[in-house]
Amino acid sequence: MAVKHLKGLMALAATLMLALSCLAGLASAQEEYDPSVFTPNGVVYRFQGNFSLLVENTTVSPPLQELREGNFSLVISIFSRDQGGGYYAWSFSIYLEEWYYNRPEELPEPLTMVLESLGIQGVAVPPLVAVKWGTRETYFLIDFHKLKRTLQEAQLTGPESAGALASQVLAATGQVNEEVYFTNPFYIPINVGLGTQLVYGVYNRTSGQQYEVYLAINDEAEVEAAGGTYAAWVVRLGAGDLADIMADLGAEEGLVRAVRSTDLEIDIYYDKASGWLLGYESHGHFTNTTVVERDGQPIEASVISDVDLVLRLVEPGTVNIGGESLIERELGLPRETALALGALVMTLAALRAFLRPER
Amino acid sequence: MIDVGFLGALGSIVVSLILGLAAGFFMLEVRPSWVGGTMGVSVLGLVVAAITAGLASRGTVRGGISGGLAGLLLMPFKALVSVLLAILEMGFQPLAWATLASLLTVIGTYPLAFAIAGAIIGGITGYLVSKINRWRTRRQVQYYYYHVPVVPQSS
Repeated sequence: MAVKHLKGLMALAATLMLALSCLAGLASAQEEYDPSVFTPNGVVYRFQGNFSLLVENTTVSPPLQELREGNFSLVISIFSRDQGGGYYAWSFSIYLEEWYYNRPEELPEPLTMVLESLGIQGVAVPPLVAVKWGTRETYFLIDFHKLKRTLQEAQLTGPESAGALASQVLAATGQVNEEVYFTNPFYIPINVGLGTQLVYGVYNRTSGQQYEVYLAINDEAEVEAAGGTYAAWVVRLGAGDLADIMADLGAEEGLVRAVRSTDLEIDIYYDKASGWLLGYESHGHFTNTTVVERDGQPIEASVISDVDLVLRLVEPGTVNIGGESLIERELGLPRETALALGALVMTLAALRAFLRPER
Repeated sequence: MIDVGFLGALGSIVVSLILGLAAGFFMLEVRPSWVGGTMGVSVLGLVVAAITAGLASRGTVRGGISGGLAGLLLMPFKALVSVLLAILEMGFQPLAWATLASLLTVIGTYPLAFAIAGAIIGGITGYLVSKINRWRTRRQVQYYYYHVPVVPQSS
């Protein structure tokens, strides 16, 4: 009888061991994240761009030469708070440090107003998205059904109702909308390597619709960011890759062909230790011919365009980039010092408790 | 007229809160693997912040209040420190909204569980400190009673 029980127990143990080993296998295949990436605070990026567009024909008299050029520099900061239920709401602030456009009279008035406002006082974007802890799933804090209803009732039209639209959007925010989510581009898992496919997508749980793009890590580099040099994974895209993605997403054939004909390079850098986005760079050069009208006469002209966009991490805040905590980065002290400093403050409190005479 | 005792208690709570937040902040910086993960770090930060606040406050009620406030403000305080460090790097103007939003987070987020746990831990620590201090005082009185010779008054 005892032997029978023993056999049963052994069989049960073997089954449990097998199940555990399967679970361990599953766990090792899962994505791992640095915990600091879900709750960024005091993270600051500088987003700079410059562009030029030259329409030219030197064979006509007088020669045609129209140059449009400009640049801008934005400061974007990210902060987060606990939204409850395993979600962390992210909000942003945007400040326009400088901007220049050589033909400001061509800009529509509302855009000029927005640019000036961004430059004088900046803007705070309230928490509109929330990250689910332990994943890259990012949910909106907007009830789209409620927003649609209110917008229909309010009948908003024209640019002057932008303020009213913003208040309607704010009125529909607050709760995590688990219907739609997208993958967060600001961080990736840390258990990745060269060739790993990173997914970027938008998903609708209710309708089952999804748009996914897979980008491979195809290089590694040392990147200067936030006053230091960090080992980074690089996702590099060319014009062909971008055109393929656009074609997969169902973009118009003409647009896809136009993108394919450009000279474009996009580099996205992720910190190896934390998986956090260190920077983004894109450089594009485009040449083509077009027909412009001058005095009612069509003139064929060449178009030369250059666009550079650079997003660079300036201040990592609470994110442990390079695997370093705030103390390690700011004070240059080893992480163990945190314990010592904490103990020192506790000792001060104890001295106050026991040595200071009671009044 | 504001009572001096009340002001003293208020000052004691503020000092305790500052010490508690400082100790908790440093504990939030320890390596998560030392304390069994991210949750462990948060719990360690809370416990150390509340104990430090309770120690410094030297009383049950003051310890409860300062421990509760330390628990409530610990996480937003960490966020605010990082924003202030960013301001040192970039200047105030580009981060004016970030600072404001961070301050609003301090006011708007209510980690009630942290506040309640902090209040309990701070209150218990404050109670123990006041008990120990009372016991020490009694011992000192007894010592003087038994050991200090009474000099007879000459009439």
